[in-house]
Amino acid sequence: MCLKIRSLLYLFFLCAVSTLSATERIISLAPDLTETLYALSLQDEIVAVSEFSNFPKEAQKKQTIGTFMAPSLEKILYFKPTVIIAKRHATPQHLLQKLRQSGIHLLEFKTQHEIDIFEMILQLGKKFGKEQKAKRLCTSLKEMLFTIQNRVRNLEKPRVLIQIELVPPMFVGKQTLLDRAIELAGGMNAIQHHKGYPKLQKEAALQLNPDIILIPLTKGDENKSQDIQSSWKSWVSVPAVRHHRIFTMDGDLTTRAGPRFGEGIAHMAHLLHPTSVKK
Amino acid sequence: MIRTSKWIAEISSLGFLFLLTLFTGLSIGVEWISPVHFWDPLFKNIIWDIRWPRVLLAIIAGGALSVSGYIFQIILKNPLADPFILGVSGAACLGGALGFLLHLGYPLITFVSFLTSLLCLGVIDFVSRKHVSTTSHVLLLTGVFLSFLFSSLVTLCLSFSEPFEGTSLLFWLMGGLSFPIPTPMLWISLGILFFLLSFIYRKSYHLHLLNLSAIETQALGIDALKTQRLFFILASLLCALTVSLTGMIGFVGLLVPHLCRFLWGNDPRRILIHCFLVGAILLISMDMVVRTLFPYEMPLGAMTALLGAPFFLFLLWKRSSP
Amino acid sequence: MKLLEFRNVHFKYSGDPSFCFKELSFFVQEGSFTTLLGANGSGKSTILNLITQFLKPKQGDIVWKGTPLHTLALKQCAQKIAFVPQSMEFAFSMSVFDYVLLGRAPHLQGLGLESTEDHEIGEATLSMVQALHLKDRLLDTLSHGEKQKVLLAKALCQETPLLLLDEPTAHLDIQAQFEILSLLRSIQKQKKMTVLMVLHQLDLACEFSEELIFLKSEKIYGQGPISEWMTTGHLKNVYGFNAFIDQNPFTGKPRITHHREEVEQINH
Repeated sequence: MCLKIRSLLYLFFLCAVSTLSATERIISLAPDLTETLYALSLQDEIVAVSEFSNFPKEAQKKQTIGTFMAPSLEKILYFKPTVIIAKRHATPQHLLQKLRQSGIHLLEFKTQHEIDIFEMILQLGKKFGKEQKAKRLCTSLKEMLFTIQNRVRNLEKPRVLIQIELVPPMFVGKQTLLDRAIELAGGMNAIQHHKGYPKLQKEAALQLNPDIILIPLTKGDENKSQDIQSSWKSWVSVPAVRHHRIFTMDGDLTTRAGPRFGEGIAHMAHLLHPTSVKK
Repeated sequence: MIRTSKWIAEISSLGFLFLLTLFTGLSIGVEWISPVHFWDPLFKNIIWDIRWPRVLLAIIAGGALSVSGYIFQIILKNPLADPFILGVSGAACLGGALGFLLHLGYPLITFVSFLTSLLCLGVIDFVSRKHVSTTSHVLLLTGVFLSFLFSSLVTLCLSFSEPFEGTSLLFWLMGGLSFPIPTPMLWISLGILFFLLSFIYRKSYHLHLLNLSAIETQALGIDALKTQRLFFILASLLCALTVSLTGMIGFVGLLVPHLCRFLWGNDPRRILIHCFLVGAILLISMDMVVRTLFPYEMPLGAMTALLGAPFFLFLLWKRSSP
Repeated sequence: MKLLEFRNVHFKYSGDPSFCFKELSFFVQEGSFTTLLGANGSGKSTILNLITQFLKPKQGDIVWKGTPLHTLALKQCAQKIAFVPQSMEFAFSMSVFDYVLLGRAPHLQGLGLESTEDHEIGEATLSMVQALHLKDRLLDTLSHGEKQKVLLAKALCQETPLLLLDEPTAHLDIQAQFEILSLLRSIQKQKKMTVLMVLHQLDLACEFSEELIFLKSEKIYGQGPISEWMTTGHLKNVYGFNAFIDQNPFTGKPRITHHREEVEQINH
């Protein structure tokens, strides 16, 4: 009798848990958030993603609700989500307000530092009952970063300038994820006195004297990177130009605050220290 | 009536001021480079690859917009008219927006922008031929509503754009002199500009006669509607050229004609050249100030309005006070 | 001699089907001072617009001494016909002298740089209309009467045989009305010009002009000397109002008094 009740209770408990997790309907409002959710095996719970969520490949089959800077409120509500995952400073504030008002659970993450990435993974793991997987993901990410750090620790730090746009000439400044990426990859951001993404005049950019110029590339942007490269061509006084160290790098790997961040750092480190860090 | 000696004195002093501003524009920037060092291998690139194209663009934009604004104010008989009042600049913006959306390279964006504005100009001209009007109301209203249409299409383009693309497009729309125009394109534009200006100047007497009502102009031996249409096309070409190169730099086209009229009277035979020089001087100076004060690329269009509006209000109130 | 002649002119406004000139024919005698009279909307201003070629007839010819106007270059026409509008319109203000010099346009080439001779003509016309003291004033500071004089001066600068005026007394007080028309009359006599004027005031028409052309409902009712055509019958037909006509005791010209229908008077 006791055994029956216990097994019934146990069954009931299992069902409850499984139905609980099965009824989560998640919408991700940024490609990097999508990647993280997939890495935590939460793909079945995702009902919709933002556009350009192209990794992993399966994510491309998911329904979209607009770009991460301009998601459609109607589309979001149409999917009747239980949780929405957003990125601070990317998703428009007024939209987030509306979503909060509509009573849907909103998880917002900032991504200016690799610590933010770890916290995000752990929080998501906790929220959706994937603590173990989250912990493992974090650990492997930390290990990767640690390995790279070891490799580059004693190497000379080149001055790195990351240019993301030609018109206006936009560069990566302090307090951004890419700034941390430069440091983790064994370099130093040539911009030390501007926060965020400053639009520097060419003359001001020249004064920075970068050793390396990196251009994050995403699909369809080949023209832009060509234009940026040719805009530096004639400036041989700049070390990066003189030594032909203007590179494009995989934009998705390096700018996304997700599970592939480690790969992105490795990619960048290889560009910064080609002899010491193999691909 | 043109007192030749006075006119020559004015042109000479303006010309001198123009050259002075040109040299100052080349010397001043993030760091000061004295003209002696302009060809120094150390500074050569900064002067000739960064500042010189900017100064050239300032001359083209400042001069073209001023003359275009002056013409529009006369043919529309409206002191509030500026080059952007009719839809041609809006069409240029739309062309640029499409260029950005299609990920075209920079020189192509300029080219597409110019083409769309020519298309719009053709349409307006065709419409104005069919609906010949004795007043300029039809032309004005057609242009204003076309302007609305184009700006809403541009906003649509912005909403369809990818995140950083939108920033690029918005920055271009706000107007500036930092766009990477290849040097041959700059020289061709300068050539087109001078061709247009010399043609306008040769016909400046007819423009002067357009100050009168259409029937009076006709009675004086000038085909009023044909001349109005001709000047509309010329002024729109100037505007289209500028917008496709530099985006919308507002206010210069409104302010400079009024300033020149205030200082030197209203005879285009006299002040067209003044308008050109003052416009060029103004834009070179403003750009010079803005890029020296801030290390950032600022939207020049917004800055011209910010500085120009209070000055213009001051002028207006001074004149209207008893 | 017929200076200007309308021969079977057909005209229609593209936006207004109700208005139509059909086979409109009349002429202006050389050296005459003619007034074009008619009710509102009868087509007086349209006729002036057709003469200046601002509007083009659908059929028929407007002929200058035997040559159709449309065969001549606009500039040549401007050397023959000058137009004084009802009011002064300008995009931006300028000095009176610069404005008057615009009248020299038909005689200038290229950039239109005026010579000393042109300046002298400008000054002469300003003094002819007794407005030389206004030479350096700005247009927007002038009174209506002064503006009318300046408009007349500008037209006189064109040095044309024919002068057209569209209601020159429209915005003027009674004194100014007399002044401008007296000036016009003396200048016309002095320069032996031909004047065609649109006017509403019948009294003034009688006082200053010799010939008149009556326009009724887009048709020429008749034309000829004032003595023949200024009668109660014609006035009743053209304007639909009752007039009593006697003689102005000072000038001997016809004097028109409007009276209501109840009071019947015998007219001669």
